[in-house]
Amino acid sequence: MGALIMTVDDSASIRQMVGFTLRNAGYEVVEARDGKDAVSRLSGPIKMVITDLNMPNMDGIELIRQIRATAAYKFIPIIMLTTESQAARKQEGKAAGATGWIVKPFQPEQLLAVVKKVLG
Amino acid sequence: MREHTALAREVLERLGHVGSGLGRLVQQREDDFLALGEELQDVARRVQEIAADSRTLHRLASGDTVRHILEELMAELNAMQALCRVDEDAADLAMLARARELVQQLAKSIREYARVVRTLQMLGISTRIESARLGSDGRGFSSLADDVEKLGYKIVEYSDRIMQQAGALDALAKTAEASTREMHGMQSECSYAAFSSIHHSMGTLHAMAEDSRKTSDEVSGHTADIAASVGRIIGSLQFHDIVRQQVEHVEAALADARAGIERAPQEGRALAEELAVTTDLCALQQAQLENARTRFSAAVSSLRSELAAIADGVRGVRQRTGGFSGASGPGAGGGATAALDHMQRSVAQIAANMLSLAEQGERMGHIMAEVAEMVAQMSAFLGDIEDIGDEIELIALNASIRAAHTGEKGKALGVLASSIQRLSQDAGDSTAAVATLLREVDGVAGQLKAYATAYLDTSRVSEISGELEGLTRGLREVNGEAARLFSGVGAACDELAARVDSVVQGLCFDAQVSAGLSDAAATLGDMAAMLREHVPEAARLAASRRLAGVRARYTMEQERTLHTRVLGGAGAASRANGHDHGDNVELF
Repeated sequence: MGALIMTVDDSASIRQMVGFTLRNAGYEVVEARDGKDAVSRLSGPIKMVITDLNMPNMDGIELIRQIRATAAYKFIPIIMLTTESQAARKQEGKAAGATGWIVKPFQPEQLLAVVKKVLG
Repeated sequence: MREHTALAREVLERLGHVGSGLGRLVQQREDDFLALGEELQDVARRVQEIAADSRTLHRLASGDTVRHILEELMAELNAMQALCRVDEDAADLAMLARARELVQQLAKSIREYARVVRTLQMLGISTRIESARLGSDGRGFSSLADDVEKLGYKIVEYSDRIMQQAGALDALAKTAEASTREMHGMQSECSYAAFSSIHHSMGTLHAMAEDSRKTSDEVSGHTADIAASVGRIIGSLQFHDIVRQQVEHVEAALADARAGIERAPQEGRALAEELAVTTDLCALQQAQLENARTRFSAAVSSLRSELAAIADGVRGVRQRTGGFSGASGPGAGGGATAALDHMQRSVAQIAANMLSLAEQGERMGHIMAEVAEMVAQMSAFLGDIEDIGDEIELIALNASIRAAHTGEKGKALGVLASSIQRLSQDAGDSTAAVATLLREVDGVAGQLKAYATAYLDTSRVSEISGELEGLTRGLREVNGEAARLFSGVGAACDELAARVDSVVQGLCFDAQVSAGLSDAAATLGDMAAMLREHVPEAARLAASRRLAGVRARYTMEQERTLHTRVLGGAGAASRANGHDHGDNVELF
C-alpha cells in the first residue's frame, strides 16, 4: 500500500486529476477543498501535502505555516501546485516551509517523479 | 471628441454587459470537465485490464503452459515410438519366415520317409515270402515281417501327423506374416503421423511465440501510447482551472475599471484619466480573453485528438489481438487458438491411434502365441521320430541275428537283414535331419513366444494413452481459457473504442465558451478603439503609470507576457530550476 498524500485545491477538476495520477501510481489520497478544509482533515499517517496557492478561506501559504506548526507534520514534504509562477511568491512559499513548487499544468510523470523524490 | 460623461456612461454599460457572466462562462463547464475526468479514469482502468488480458492471452499461447504440454507430449510420443518399434528391424517377420522355411524343409525331409516306407513294405513282403519258403525254420521271420510292416505303418502315421501339422502351421504363419506386415505398416504410419504432428505443433508454437512476442511489443506500444495520451489529457483537463482563473482576472480587472469610473467625478481630468486607464485596460483584457479562448480551445482540441488517439490505440490492440485468432471472429481461422485446436485434435488422434495399435498388438500377440504353440507341438514329434530310428535299428539287428541262426538256409534272409540295416542307416540320416529341423523349430517357438508376450503387454500403451488424454485435457483447458480471453478482449476493445468515439463526438462545449470569450474580446476591442478616439493622448500617458500596477496582480506567466506585449515594459519571465523534472518544477 502506497503512502497517504493530501491534495488541496479549490478546483474539483485539479483535485480529480492529482488524485487520479497518484492513485494510479499506488498512492492513497485524501482531498481537501481549501486550506481550512485541509487543516481540519490533517490527521493520520499523511506523508505529504500537495497544495494550491490561491484558495478561498485559507490560502496555501497559511496552510503551510499551520502544517509546520503541527508537530506530527512539521517535517513532511509540502509541494505547491499552482498557476502562480512569480519568484516573489515562490520565495514566500519557500520561507513558509514549502519543499517545492510546480506550476500548473503538471504532467503525471512529472508530478510522480517529484513525489517519489521528496518521499525518498 | 465626445463628452466624457456620456462616454463614461456608455463604457459603464458595456463593461457591465461584458463582465456579467464572463467568469461563469468557464466556471459552469466544470461539471463537463469532471465528467470527462471520470470517463478518463474509467477508460484508463479498462485499457489496463485489456492490456493485461491481451498479455495473458499471448503468454498463454506461447508461454510455459503450452511449452510444458508440448515437452510432455514429445516425451510421450518418444515412448510411444519406442513401443511402436517393438520389432524395429522386423525380426518377428524374419522369425515367421524362418518358421515357414523350416516347415518347408521339414516337409521335404518327411517326403524322404516315403522311400523308406516303400522299402520297408517291400522288405516286409519279401521277409514273409522267404519265411513261408523256409517253413518251420523260417517261422520266427514272420514276426520280423510283422515288425517291419508295423514300423512302416507307424512312419506313415507319424509323417501324416507331422505333414498335417506342418500344413496348418504354414497357413497360420502365413496369416501371422500378413498381420505382422499390416501392423508394421500401422506402426510406421502411427509413428510418422505422431512425429509429423508434433513437429508441426512445435513449429506452430515457435511461430506463435515469435508472433506473440511481436504482438506483446505492439500491444505494449499501443498501451504506452494510450498512457501518454492519458497523461496529455490530464494536462489538458487542468486548463479548465487555468483558463477560469485567467478569465476571473479579466473579470476583476473590468470590475476595477468600472469602479474607477464610477468613483471619478462626472467630468474633468480625473474622469479622463479613468477613461484612459480603461482604454488600455480594454485592449489588455481583449488580449487576455483572446489568449484564454485560444488556450481553452487548444486544450479541448487536444482532449479530442488524444481521446481519438486512445480509441485508435484500443482498436490497435483489438486488431493485433485479432491476429491471435487469425480471422474475423473469435475462435475462427488460423492463428494461435486454431493452432491450439489443431494440437488438441492431433493429440486426441495420436491417443486413438495408440489404442488401436494396442488392440492390433493384442490380436497379434494371440496369433503369435498360437504359432508358437503349434511350433512347440511340432517339436513334440521329435521323440516319435527318434523312436522310429531306434526301432529300425532294432529290427535290422533282429533280422541279422535270425539270419545267422538259420544258417545256410537263411542266406536269403541274411540279404534281407543287410537291406534292413542299410535302410536303418538311411532312415537314421532322415530322422537326424528331421530331428535337427524340429529342434530348430523348437528354438523358433521360443522366440515367437517372446514376441507374443511383448505384443500382449499393452499396459504401457494404456498408460501412455491415459497420459495423452491428460495432455489433451490440458490443451483443451488452455484453448478454452485463450478463447475466453480472446472473446473478452475483443468485446472490451470494441465497446471501449465505441464509447471513446461517442465521448469525442459529444465533446462540443468549447464552441459556446469560445464564442462567449470571442464576443467579449471583440467588445473590449471595439471599446478600446472607441475610447482611443475620444480620450486625449496626455490623459493616456498619465494612465500608463497606473497600469503598471495591474501587472503585479497576475498569477500566471502567460498573463504577464501578454501584459508586456500589449502595454510594453519590463517582463522578465520567472523560470523554475527543476532541471530533472521540467521547467515548471522547482525543488527548494
